[in-house]
Formats: sequence, C-alpha cells, structure tokens
Amino acid sequence: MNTNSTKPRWLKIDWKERFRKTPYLLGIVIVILLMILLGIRNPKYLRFMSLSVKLKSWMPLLFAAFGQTFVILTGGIDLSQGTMIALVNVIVVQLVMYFEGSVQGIIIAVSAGILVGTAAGIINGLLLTRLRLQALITTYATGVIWKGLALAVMGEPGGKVPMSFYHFFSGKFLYIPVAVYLLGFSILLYFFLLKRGIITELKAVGGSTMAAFESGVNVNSKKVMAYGICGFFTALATLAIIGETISGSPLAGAGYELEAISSAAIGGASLSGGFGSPIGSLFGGVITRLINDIIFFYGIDVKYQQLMQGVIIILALSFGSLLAKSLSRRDK
Amino acid sequence: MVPLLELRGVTKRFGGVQALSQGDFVLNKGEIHFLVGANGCGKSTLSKIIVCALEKDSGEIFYKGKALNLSSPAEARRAGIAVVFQELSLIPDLTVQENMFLGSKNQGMLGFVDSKSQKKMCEKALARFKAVLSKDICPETPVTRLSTDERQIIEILKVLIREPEVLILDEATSSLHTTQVEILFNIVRELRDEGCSIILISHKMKELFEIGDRATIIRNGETVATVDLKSATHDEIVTHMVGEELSSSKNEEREISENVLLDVRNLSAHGLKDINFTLNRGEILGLSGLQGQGQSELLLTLFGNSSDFRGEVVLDNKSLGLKSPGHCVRDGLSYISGDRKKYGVFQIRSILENTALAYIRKKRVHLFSRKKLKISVLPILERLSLVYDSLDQSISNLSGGNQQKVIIGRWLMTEPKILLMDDPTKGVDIKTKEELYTLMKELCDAGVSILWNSSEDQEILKNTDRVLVLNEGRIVDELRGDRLSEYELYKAAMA
Amino acid sequence: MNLNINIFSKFKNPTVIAAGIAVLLLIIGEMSAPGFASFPQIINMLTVASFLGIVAAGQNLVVLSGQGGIDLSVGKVVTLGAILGGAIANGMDSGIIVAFAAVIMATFFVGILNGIGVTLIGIPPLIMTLSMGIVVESISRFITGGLAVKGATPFMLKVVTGRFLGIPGIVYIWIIFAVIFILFQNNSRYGLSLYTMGSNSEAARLSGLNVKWIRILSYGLSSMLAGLAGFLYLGYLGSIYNISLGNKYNLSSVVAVVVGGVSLAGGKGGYLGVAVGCILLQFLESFLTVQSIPSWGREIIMGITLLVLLTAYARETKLRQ
Repeated sequence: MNTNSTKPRWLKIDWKERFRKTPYLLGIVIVILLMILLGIRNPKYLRFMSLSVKLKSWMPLLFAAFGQTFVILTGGIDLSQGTMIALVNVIVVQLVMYFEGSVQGIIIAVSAGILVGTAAGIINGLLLTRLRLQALITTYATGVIWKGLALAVMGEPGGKVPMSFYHFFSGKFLYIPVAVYLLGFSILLYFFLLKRGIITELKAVGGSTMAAFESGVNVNSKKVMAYGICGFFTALATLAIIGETISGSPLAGAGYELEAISSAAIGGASLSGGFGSPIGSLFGGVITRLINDIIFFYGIDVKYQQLMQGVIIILALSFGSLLAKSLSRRDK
Repeated sequence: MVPLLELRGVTKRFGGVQALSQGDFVLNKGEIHFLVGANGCGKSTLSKIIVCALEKDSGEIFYKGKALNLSSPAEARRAGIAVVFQELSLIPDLTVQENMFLGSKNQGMLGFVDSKSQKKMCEKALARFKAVLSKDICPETPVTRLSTDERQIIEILKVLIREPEVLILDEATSSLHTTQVEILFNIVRELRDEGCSIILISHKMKELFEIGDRATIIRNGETVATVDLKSATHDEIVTHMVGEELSSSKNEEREISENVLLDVRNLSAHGLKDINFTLNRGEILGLSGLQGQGQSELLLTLFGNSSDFRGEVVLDNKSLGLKSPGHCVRDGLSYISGDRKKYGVFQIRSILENTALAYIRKKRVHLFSRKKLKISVLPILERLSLVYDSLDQSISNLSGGNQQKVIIGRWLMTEPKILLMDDPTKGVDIKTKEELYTLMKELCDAGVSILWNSSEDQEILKNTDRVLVLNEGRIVDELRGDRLSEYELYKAAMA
Repeated sequence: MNLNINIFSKFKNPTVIAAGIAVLLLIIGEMSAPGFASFPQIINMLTVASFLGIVAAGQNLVVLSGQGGIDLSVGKVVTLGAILGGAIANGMDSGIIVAFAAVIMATFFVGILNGIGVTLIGIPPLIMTLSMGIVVESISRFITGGLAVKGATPFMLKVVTGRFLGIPGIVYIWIIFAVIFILFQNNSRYGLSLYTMGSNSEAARLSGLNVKWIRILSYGLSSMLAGLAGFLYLGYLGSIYNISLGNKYNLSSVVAVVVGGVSLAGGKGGYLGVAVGCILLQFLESFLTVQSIPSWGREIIMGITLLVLLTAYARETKLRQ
C-alpha cells in the first residue's frame, strides 16, 4: 500500500480493477487480436461489407448467447435453448405458410414465435422455482419436451418462407445493416434492465441466493424473469436462423445451447453465477465464430479443424479462468 | 403502554427437533434488549421468526398492537423490522454500494436506480466507521476485497440505511474488534435515543451490561425470564441460562515440562512477520491481541495452508515442510476452526464419516469395514460425551457444540502431537465450552500440546499456560504467570 | 410412531421410488403389450442398460466430487473406446490385451486432462468436458478416417453376448461390477474422501485430504469407465459404423445419476440408486417404443416423466422454511 505513492502515475491504474468492472474488456482485446490475425491473411475480410455479412450469419449465436447469459447470471443454465429454437422455428414457418406469406401473416407468425419462446422460457423458470428443481436437469427435460412438440408441429425439415424474410435480415436501413439495429436494440434492453437495478438483482441471486433472499430480493420472480428473457432472445435467434435458411426444421438449433454457454464463458461470465455481462457474451460469440474463420482462412486441413476448434476453446477458457483467478485474489 | 413488538407462545420445529417450544417476548419502544442463552437454545430461531425469515408453527406476533402476518424478510423490513444476521448476507461479486441497496426500492425517476444519490448515502454511511475501515474502501469496492470485520460493518450499514424501527443484531459483534464494537455501540445508543428499539444477540456478557437495558433469557427453546439489566447480576443471568450455578474455575498453575516440542524460527508469511516462539510438550499456548492481527494466519500457516512462508518450523527435532494440510496431519498436527460450517463439518454426511475421515487418511487405510470403524470411533465419542442417536445419523442434526465435539473427535483419532485451534468455542454453548476446557487440560496432561486463539480474552487468559500477544503479524509480548491478566493483555495489544 | 417415520423415509428413498416405478412400468407394459415383461424381454432391456450402467458409474463419481462436477465428455469417450479398441484389436484375439490396455490408458488420460482443466486451471466442469468432447470426437474421426471400424474379436463377442443360463455375459459383468463398485464407494478411503469432499471441499482439505488429486482422479476414472463401456459396446455391436454412437450416453448418464438419487450438488447418493436409475430409464424407453406412440409423443412423455421423477425427490430445500 505504502509503496504506491512512489510509483509513476500510469502504474497506479489498477488494471485488475478495470477488468473486474468491465468483464468483457478481455473479450474486446481478443476480438481485436483475432481480427488482426484474419486481416493479415485476408485483408478483404475486414471490409465493412464482408463484416456485415459475417455479422448477420453470427446473429443466431449472438442472440442465443446474449439470452443465455441472463440465466447464467442467476446461477442457472438453460439446456433447452437448442430445442426451443427448433420449436419456435417450426411454429413460425408453419404460421407463415398458413397465411401464405402475406405481410400480416408474417407479423402474426413472428409475434407468435416471440411469444412461444418467451413462454417456454417462463415455463422453465416456473418449473425451477415452483417445484424447486435443479436447472441443469430440468431444462434438459423440458428440452426433450420442446423437441417432441417441434416434431409434432412439423415432422421433418421443409416449408418455405418468402424471400422478403431473407431480405429483411440481410437488408440495410440508413446504410447500416439491420443486424446492427437488432444488436443495438438488445444492448439497449440490457442497459434498461441495468438502470432498473434488475441486473444487479440477477447477479445477487447468482452470487448468493440465500443472501439475496435475506436482502429482500424476490429470488423466484427474478429467476423466472431471467429464463423468460432467455426465451425471448432465443426466439430472436430463431428468427435470425429463419432469415438465413428461409425454411423450417424441427432439428434447427441443435447444439446452440452449448455454443451459447461456452460463448458466455469465453465472454467472462462465471458459470456458477453472479459475475459476467451479456455484452461480454456477445464478444464471446464473436470470438467463437472468428476462431472458425481463422481455421478456415489459414488453410488448416479440414481434418484438423474440429480438433483445433476444441483445443483453442480449451486454451481460451484456460487463459480466461487463470486471469479470473488472479483477479479475484485479494491484494492485501 | 402497548409494547412495540410482542410474541406470545411462538413455536418452531425443524424435522424432529423442537427449536422453539415457548417463545414469549416483549419489546418496548426505545430500548436495547438482549436475547441471551446457550447456543442452540433458540435465540436465532426466535429472531428469524420475528423478521419472517422463518415461518412460525404456532403462536402470535403483535407489532404496534396489531397481529403481524408477513411472508418474507423484505416485507418485514418494509414494516420497519430489520435484522443483521450472523451469517453474512452480502454478495461477494457486487460492490459495497450495490450490496447496501440490494432489495431496496429504487427511489429515482420512474423506478430507475438513482446511483448518484445512492452513492452519496453510501459514502455518508461509510464515513461513520471511517476510523476503523481500510482507507481505500469506497462505494465501488467489490465486497470480495473486504476483510471479515469490514464485511460485517457493511452488513450493519446496509440495514441502518433503511432506518428500521426495530433493529436486530444477531451476533453482529463476534467478528469485530474492540474499537469497531465501540463505534457500533455508540451508533446503537444514538438509535435508541432516537426511539428505535434494538434487539441484540450476543455471547459476550460484558456487552450485555455495557449497553443493555433489558435482557430475555432463553433456555432449550423456552423464554425463561426477562430481567432489568440495571439491577440484574452476572450470576443471575448465567443461572437462568444454564439452569444451575456454574462454579467459576480459576486458572490453576500447571507444571509444564521444559521439553520443547515445536520450535518456530523466523517465520514470515502472508500477514506474519518474523515469528519466533517455542511450544513445550504438554503446554497450552494461547494467541491473543486484537482480532485479525495474524493469529488465524499463524495457525493456518503452521497447518501447511500457506504457499509463501519463510523461516523454519521444527517439530521433535525434525524440520517440517508445511507443504499442505495433508503433510502436516502426517507430521502429527491437527486444526480445528470455529467456523465449523465452512471449515469443519461435512453437512449431509454421517457422524461416523465425519469422525473417521482424518484417521483413515493418516493411517493410510485403503479398505475398511464400517462395523469395525464404528467400534474404533466409539471410545473417542464417549470420551467427549457426545449426545447422539446413531453413528449413521447426519451431523447436521446435531447442535453447534456437539458438531464441534465430532470435529475434535476427528482429530483425537489421529493421535495428534499438537492441536491448533482457531477460536474453537465460537458459537458454542457455555456447558460445552467448560467441557472443552477440561478436555484441553486432560490432553495436555497426556502430553499433547495446544496452540490456540480465541476471540474471547477472558477465555484465553483463563485456559492457557502462556499467551503470545500479536500485533500486525508480529509477536509483541509474552504473558505468563501473574501477567496473565486483561490489563496486561490490552496494554501489549494496543501498544 | 417410530415405525411410521421409518416407512415414510423408505418411501422417500430415491432408489425405492425408482425401483417402484420400474416395476410399475413392467406391469403396465405387460398389460398393454403382452410379452413386455417376459424374461427374455427383461434380459434384453438389462443388456442394453448395462452399458449405460457402467458409464453412469463414472458420472456418479464426478457428480459426487461436488463443486458442479459433471462429465459431459463421456458420450464421445464411449465412442473413442469402441473405435480405438476395434482399430487396435482388428478382429484378432491376439491383440485384445493390447487393445484393452490402450483403451483404458487413453481414456484415463483424457479424464485426467479434464480433471486438470477443472481443478488446477479452474475451467467450469460443464464447459471443460464439453470442449474435451469435441477434441475426443475429432480424434475418433482420425482413427476411423471416415470408414467403419471392424474390430470386435471373437473372444469379446463371446464374453459380451455369449449367454449363460439365458443371460448374456454383459449382464453378469455389470452385476459383478456393481457389487465391486458399491463396496468401493462405501468401504474405501477414496470413496469416503469423495463423499466428504463433495459435502464440504474446504473442510476435507483441512482434514488432510489432497482434494485436487481426488477430484482429478474422479474425472480420470469417469472417463476410463466410459472407455471400458465403449470397449464392451464394441463387443456387443461387433463393428462400429457411427461416430455419434456414444452421444446418447452424455446426458442420459447424468439423468440416470439424478434419477438414482445422487445430488448434483455433490456428496450424496450411491451406485445402487444409479444402477436402478439406469434400468428405469431403459424400461421407460422400451415401454414408450412398445406402445407404438409416434416419436414426438415419446419425446414429450419422456420429458414429462423426467420432470415428475425430479419433482418426486430431487427437489431443493425451500428458501424460507
């Protein structure tokens, strides 16, 4: 403590403290590093056009990771996210086809999709809180149910969505890609919740449920809310997927839950709850996708791609958690 | 006059245990009211029922003359009843400010958080304890960075900031040191003079007479008496508590061999500087001083829990590596903490498993029969006069004192040369405490040495042969013989 | 009075509940589709359950070790065990010992890596083991090169599928394994250490346990048991065509463990319950298949049944008592 006063000014900046306050700082740094790596290999990659096309294809994962983080903050997990995407996917596509692709029909289908996603999330939350079940296994069970429901709505992949859907997602508004607006909207919603003090309460629930309860936080309603928000963003992720594939599939979204969870972890969220930020998970998602591109652009043999992917994720996680360890160590 | 708060015939049962059988309690406006009793007598249960953290089984609660029917601590707080729990209720990863305002209604525009005014209130609250908090604590400091006593203070401030009419402090002083307690008591007095009523739960008799107006004594889940502290005596309260008069034992001088068992030379580690002392065979050596001056760190370092220590520790002419608790156990050391929940007890597991673990590990037993294990555990538990139904019963069903006995049993089974104990009587009832003191003397007569720390000064002065006084990680004095007095202790500790 | 409490607590015992439901399924199954509860049919179901049984034993250890311990790489490791064993043995009995040793060592090593990532580096178990799954799968793919592995030796086929008293060898193997494993959990130092540290890791460390090493070992054993199950599975199938062969074991081993009464928080629940849980899961699956319910209906019923089972006994304590 006493030695501090003799240090030059720049040394006094407490980097540990900085990282602690903005958990996604490291994510930003890694994204920039990866971008540079890609830029060296393929300068075209960094053009605005190609990045915005990329961003659009990343949207499903980004939404999924963003939503999943709210649940992770409360110390929970939503393994049903993947099949929830499938359920919303087939419902939206069936409705669009039922209304024969009319504009009103699309609006109805999209709203129904968002409603179903949010409702599915809330059902998860209610099951967990009312019946006091464990998140991991319960959302696995509801995930099985969503899959069954999705198969009931649409037995096998098929259906077609009008191209207007595709054009909406890949379109631009005032020179800026629609995807950016959607991201911006998500981030705004996050800040709205932050300013309402809700994010703090979610973190409190994840940090120590008992302490949050004794402090007067309505733990159960916060959990339900987190799962509901997750469902909402999962529905958005589904719409983004439909915007890419313009068709329906009861198998859509397989594996998304795991990618979303690892994106959140890479983005600095603690899987035991209480620490992290949905914005960090966006960076986590981008990192996950950039790694794939690096493997691709550096011409690594397809045989090694998957292996590399796994190894890089493990290394990234190792680095992240070693850093987190040194952050949480006390200075005294 | 209608009392502010009144409990009539409140009961509470946890599974098979009747935690509270008859709770009657009257709190007047503007008084400091103590709840006292042996541990596990139902004090905490009673206070948790008042703030609605626990549901009562039967009975009635009246608040300001009306029946009180609330369903959560949050509702109770809105009604003006707030509690500072003995288990900390802070969230480590949130900042001081976030913690302080957690669960309170947002007062800003349209329900948004007004973080500026919160920060001001937070700074104002911190300023009250400024003298006893580290300098760098501000509203943005995450709670993980704070020490235990600082956390306790934040906990108290968190409740005070909501300006309650009834304030309950459940063992809030147990982790604070003297100067911090003084400031807290000044605030408590101020609050009383402003008309707030305070319920204090404490094991420390001194505090009772220092600031208390009245005290209600609980014994075995029953409120047995309420006394006026201006006229009551120490003995009277203790009599109510235990139901029988305790003979005050005097510190009798024991013959200690001059045979050095443990020799600590120039030991430095995290929070410790240049520690030198010897521990003789069969000696009880106490560690004292203000709280948090390195006592706990010294014990943990000797138990191999510190990665960066320097210096030499010699046991029986053999230099110890202190690599890990596992190594130290094999070398004949053992460690008992007062924080049983965190460092001692295996909650869901049986008494047998809780007792046998260290023994099995030390003896390098790879396979065992449970029947034979029970037979080898029995004599130890009998010696500790543990009260239990069966060895397969979960340890969670035992009271705090009995749990501590099981943990002591765990170590006695390994036939240790040295017992390291960090505040072992924390939250233990008076009867068990007395049993523990007797046990310590018996063990030392049998050749075991004890090095221990206690947050209760009288306890350590009474039950040791020598006391080392620590200050900021250094040994500043050694008390023995006639110098074993509170006066000498404070003189050395405060210097 | 005392008797009542005892009976009541027996009914609350997860193993008893799971066994009860399993029997109930047999009865209803027999009524709606005669032959469902016939001896050969039950043996068939047990045969399929035994592989899950061995995988779930490893999962049991990891979950018991506490601190969110879970091994979601077991599915891929089962595949690796089968493929590696098959590739080395290559259908010849002479290579079986080498193949077996290679499988056990390789999968144990994978598990140790999991354990190191979790305990020494501090990666959350869920993520660590999932990522390891990706790596393991790509290794499996290397070995096969996209072709089928033909590799069960005659001896393996005989041991796993050969029948004695009408019961295939694998069921005997499972029974013997279960007995040894239960003894191992209850009467070994490792078992006791695992239970206590699952209950309170810090206290276990301060009781002298090398908590990190025990946790690493649990992951190692879990992976090794998955590899063993894969090796036996090869003996059951004869050859491997499918790289996603073991995937189903990933979450079903966790489900079996939970259904068997093991607390995901660690420190509670033994293998007897887990074994019953595996049997129950298999009965349920067969039951739903026999009822000629469309696949979507089966999924929904499976999910709801799981929720009901969880509600029956895997509930957490109330915040406000």
